[in-house]
Amino acid sequence: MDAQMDTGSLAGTRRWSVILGLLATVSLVAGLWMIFFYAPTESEMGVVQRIFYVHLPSALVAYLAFGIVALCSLGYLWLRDERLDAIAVCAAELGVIFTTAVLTTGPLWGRIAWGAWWVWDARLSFTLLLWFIYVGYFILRGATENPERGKRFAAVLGIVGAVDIPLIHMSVQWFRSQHPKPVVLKPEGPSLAPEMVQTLLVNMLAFMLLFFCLLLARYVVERLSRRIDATRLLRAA
Amino acid sequence: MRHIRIILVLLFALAGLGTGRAARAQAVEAPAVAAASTAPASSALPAPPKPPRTLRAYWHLFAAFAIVWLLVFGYVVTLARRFRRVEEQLQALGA
Repeated sequence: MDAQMDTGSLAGTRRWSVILGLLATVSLVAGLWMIFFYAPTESEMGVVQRIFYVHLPSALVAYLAFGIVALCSLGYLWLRDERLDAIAVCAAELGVIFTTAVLTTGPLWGRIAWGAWWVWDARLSFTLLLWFIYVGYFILRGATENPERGKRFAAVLGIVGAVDIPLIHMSVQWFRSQHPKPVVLKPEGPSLAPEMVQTLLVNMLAFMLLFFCLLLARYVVERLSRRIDATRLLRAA
Repeated sequence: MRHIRIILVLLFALAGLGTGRAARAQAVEAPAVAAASTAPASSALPAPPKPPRTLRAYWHLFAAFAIVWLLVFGYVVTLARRFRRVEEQLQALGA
């Protein structure tokens, strides 16, 4: 009965993934159109500033992903619910993907804007650290002989790793930094042209939809593969 | 998943088209919009020199978008493969 209910809920999850995928596609097309045909060219940096519209949404989605990892890991350590661990794994995978996007688009922008691919600035260094922590999360899961212990260790790392997120966010305020300070989320309001803010918001929405679409699709695969492993273990026993 | 791949290819094409359009717009020296800079340096540090407007900026723009879309596209492809493998294993277990 539980397996039937689970299959039903997974089918529902898959359906939601498709719906979100369609919405993400529409908003990504709209976002791309706005980046290249609607948003004005920034006066100082020129065309390379358009990287901003994928760089910032990728960063925000990565923060969201690692926030989900931390919450689900906390829930897993408390409740020992396998579903929470599955969500944490899927979110961590996507977080690493989007952090990779941030760490590659940033230097491409920085090379033109600052004249350097990389500077050991607080925000950049903390972001690189975040990437290493969550790559370590996967290595740790696979490194222990007892899978349950691996999940527990990874959950602890998932929670500890998320502490880096506020550090990344606040680092430009706390330290001397080459990286720009917030231009949208600040008390006195955004210091961008309205068209730029609109373009950014549409792209942020598109990336959020894409993230949730991929998260649900990945979750379905994770749950099914865990079910296969459990069935094989049962048959072997 | 095949439809998602087609859509992603179309997105790539749109990104390429957009980069070309941006290049043309700047090549004819369209008046730049005096919007506030999105990358102001910290006041504690000397302001970096204004970046020269060279073709290199377009390559960087193209590379940034290409990398993001390749990452997403690659992830969707691996997800589709994993899903197919899981389905085959489920069928094999059911048989």
